[in-house]
Amino acid sequence: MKKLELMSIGAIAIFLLGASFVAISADSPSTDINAQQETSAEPTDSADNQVIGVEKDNTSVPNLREKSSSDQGKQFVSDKKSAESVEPVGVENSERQALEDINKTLKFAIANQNKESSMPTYQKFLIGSGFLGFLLAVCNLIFTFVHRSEDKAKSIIDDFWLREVIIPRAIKPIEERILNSRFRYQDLTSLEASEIEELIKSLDELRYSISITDLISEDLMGSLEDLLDELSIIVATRSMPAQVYSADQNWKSTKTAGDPFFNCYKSMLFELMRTHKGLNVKHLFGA
Amino acid sequence: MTNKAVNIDLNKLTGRVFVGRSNGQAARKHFKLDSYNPKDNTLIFLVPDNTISINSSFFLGLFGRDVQQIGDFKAFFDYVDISRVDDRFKEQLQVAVKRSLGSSNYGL
Repeated sequence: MKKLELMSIGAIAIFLLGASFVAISADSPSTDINAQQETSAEPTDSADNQVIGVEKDNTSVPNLREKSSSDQGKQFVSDKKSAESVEPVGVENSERQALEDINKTLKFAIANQNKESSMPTYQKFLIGSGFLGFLLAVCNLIFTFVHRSEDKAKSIIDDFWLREVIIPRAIKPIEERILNSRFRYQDLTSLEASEIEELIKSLDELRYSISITDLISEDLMGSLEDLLDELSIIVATRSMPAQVYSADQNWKSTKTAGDPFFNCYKSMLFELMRTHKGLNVKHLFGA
Repeated sequence: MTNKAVNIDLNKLTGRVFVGRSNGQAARKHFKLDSYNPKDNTLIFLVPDNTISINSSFFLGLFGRDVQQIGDFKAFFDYVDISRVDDRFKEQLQVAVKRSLGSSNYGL
């Protein structure tokens, strides 16, 4: 049982870890871009110098596109700043126009670069779904393996030994000696001493017949023996109330109503049912 | 050194039908059996002739603790002498002791 619980917890943990991993990895590209943009938004003197250098050197746009996206971002923002800062100095219109063109081209280049590097949403979804599907399949395999070993134990112990061998061997003598007892239909108040002795001896023999239930549970055998004792005392008490040695005098007045044989039979079946229901067949295999 | 013999006489109890483990345990208290031991004592079990029935549960309630402590059929009946018990009960008591010694829980 503990093994199954541990495996279940492990499978769930793997599933959760996998799901969070997929979620994190799906979010990461946009985060990176933001980080890049945030970083590039910081004004730096070197960036300003670089853009001014670009303008002065007339460096072509294709060369700039070969640079990394972060550099391009920095250049784009710094270009804007440099354009603004250059204006009051009195740059000529043609140069200003050229700077704006370069800015536009850079914007376009950066936008294209971001589009190319980020993965489309449906692709992320497909990858995430595939990963989760794989995890589910692994979990399913683990559960199937565990349940198969449980079913095997149940099949051997429960379906065969308990249902086919042990319990029928206990129930049959109980039916014969209690439910079909010849004393059941007699007036219990008029039984003779020899009949009481016969009945008590018969119930003792039944005790030996059902002692096979020791295999299932010692507690079960103890409960069944208590019920047989109770029946013996009830019958003897009805017949010879003054002759039964009893440590508990109140007992006689509370448990002598109804058909004691049927009540005993019913209670014994109930004990068998209760024990069978609560039986852990896996216990045998030390699982 | 001879063991001191102690009579366990059911005639000291009221009634002629002795059944049930709880009643046997009550009788054990009545006879103060916990104060005796196999090294120093021999218990002589006496059953009145007019006794109607003794069942195995009563006997094991009375002597079950000794059966488990001694753990041997012959050694137990050396300690508890049932030679004076009527034959109709003797075999029944012997079977009860055998069953008590052989009972075990296989942990199913």
